[in-house]
Amino acid sequence: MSRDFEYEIRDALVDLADEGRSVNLATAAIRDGKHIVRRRRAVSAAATFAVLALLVVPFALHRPVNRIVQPGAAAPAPTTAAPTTADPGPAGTPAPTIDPMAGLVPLPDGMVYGSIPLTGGYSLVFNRSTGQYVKLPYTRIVPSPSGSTAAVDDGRRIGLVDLDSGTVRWAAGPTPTGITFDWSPDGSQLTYLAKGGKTGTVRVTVLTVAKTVAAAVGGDILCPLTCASAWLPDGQAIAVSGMDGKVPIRLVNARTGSPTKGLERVTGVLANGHAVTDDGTLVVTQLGAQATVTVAATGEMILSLPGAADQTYWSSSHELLLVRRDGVSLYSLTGEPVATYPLPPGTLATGSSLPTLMRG
Amino acid sequence: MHGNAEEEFTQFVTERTHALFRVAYALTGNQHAAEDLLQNALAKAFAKWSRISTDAEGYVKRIIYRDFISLWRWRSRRPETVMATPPEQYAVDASDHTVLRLVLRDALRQLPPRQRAVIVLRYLDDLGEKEVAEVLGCSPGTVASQASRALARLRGAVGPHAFQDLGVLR
Repeated sequence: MSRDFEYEIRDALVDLADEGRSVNLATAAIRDGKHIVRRRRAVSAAATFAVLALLVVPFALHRPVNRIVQPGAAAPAPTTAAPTTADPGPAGTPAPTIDPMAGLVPLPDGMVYGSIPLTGGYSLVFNRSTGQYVKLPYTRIVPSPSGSTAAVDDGRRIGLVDLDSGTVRWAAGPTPTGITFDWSPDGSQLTYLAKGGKTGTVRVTVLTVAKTVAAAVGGDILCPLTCASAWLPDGQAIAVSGMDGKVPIRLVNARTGSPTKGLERVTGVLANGHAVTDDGTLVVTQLGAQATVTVAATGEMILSLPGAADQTYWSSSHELLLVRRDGVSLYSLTGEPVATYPLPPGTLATGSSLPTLMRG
Repeated sequence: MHGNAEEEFTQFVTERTHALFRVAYALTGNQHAAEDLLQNALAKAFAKWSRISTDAEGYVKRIIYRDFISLWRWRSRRPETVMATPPEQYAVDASDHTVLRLVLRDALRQLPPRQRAVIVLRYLDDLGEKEVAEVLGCSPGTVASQASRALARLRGAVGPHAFQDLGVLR
């Protein structure tokens, strides 16, 4: 191994390590750490109880039969099995059981949580076909707007999970290079970005659910930094936005990949297709640490809301839903906070690992 | 957990998050996965804070590396379909360092978890073979073989001609 090559590896690793955006996870870690301690105490108490039960119950059941029975004394009452639930006592509380329906605060305008990331690498995902949440071992999972399929991303590939059986089919096709994927409005396809032919470029890629095969549409798109793709509500166009927030949003035809117009006056990161109103007039993007509302036709910014939001959605009445670490906030178009809905209990709320929403 | 411990822990996280997150990101190459990996490790550290506070960073790093290997290895065992598109081959000119680094960065993302962990420990954390083995809980021999395979893969990704022009590939 040459020394030069080792230097290049070192430099490449430093580049890679510096690519991420670190977020302070102290609060979330303390909350999760307390869960771990409580769970450990509950398990420990349950284990102690189980060991005692194992020692005592057989002894009680199989005592020597030559015990002295006083004449006339009543026969001993039959023993009943001890309850299996452990009382951890005042030192601890039972391990939290996750029942999202119990702690779920209804969201406005018929929206529901599509996926809820949990600690330990799991998520709860809404299965539309059963109306229930299922727990699956993925941190980044987004259910389809129709049917009982969800898309997952393990950092290297996109998979399709059957929410009824939990099985995953990893898609054949170009390797994802961006950090996001987005469903088409009808749920038959999803889009992500793959590496382009030239350095610093990406290609819009469309995954067809029925075939589990993805293919690039169109040519290279310049992307100096990490980019995101989003499927617009009309189902016809896919948006590519740059994470640096400086390059205007570019649109391509979802079928042919040819460039189209519509959002060339808007800058910032488009989190998903729901960040564009159904009529295409207003767009909410993330610009630095602000969520910004822009008029698509003119590029006029009409509203800036402080605070980073991982996911943004429009309600049918042109009110804005922002998913943040401290909850889901509803804003009017004048920027007035209308309501804040707490995240479901047990939610892992890191910088960008937050619940997704969908229309119920 | 006492309030003092929470304060100490918060201070530790505030001061060391950047360094720890860089490791998590270098391993996963993904913002979401890096945050999840780090948050899990920090939560475990908080749960044992009274015992590990004197070497908190070392403990968190060990958890990050070991969780990364076990989680990613577990994921790779699940049923999957083979990618139809073979990995792209590059013909890299070693004199173009920017391109070379981009290619290497992509190749690093493609390494299997244990090999990637070894490379990150070796070249980002600057640890020797013995120290890498201690962090990963394996033998130095395993580290050496994993490093050798990883470097061979990286060299293969860059292409056989990358360094020949400069006469530095041996």
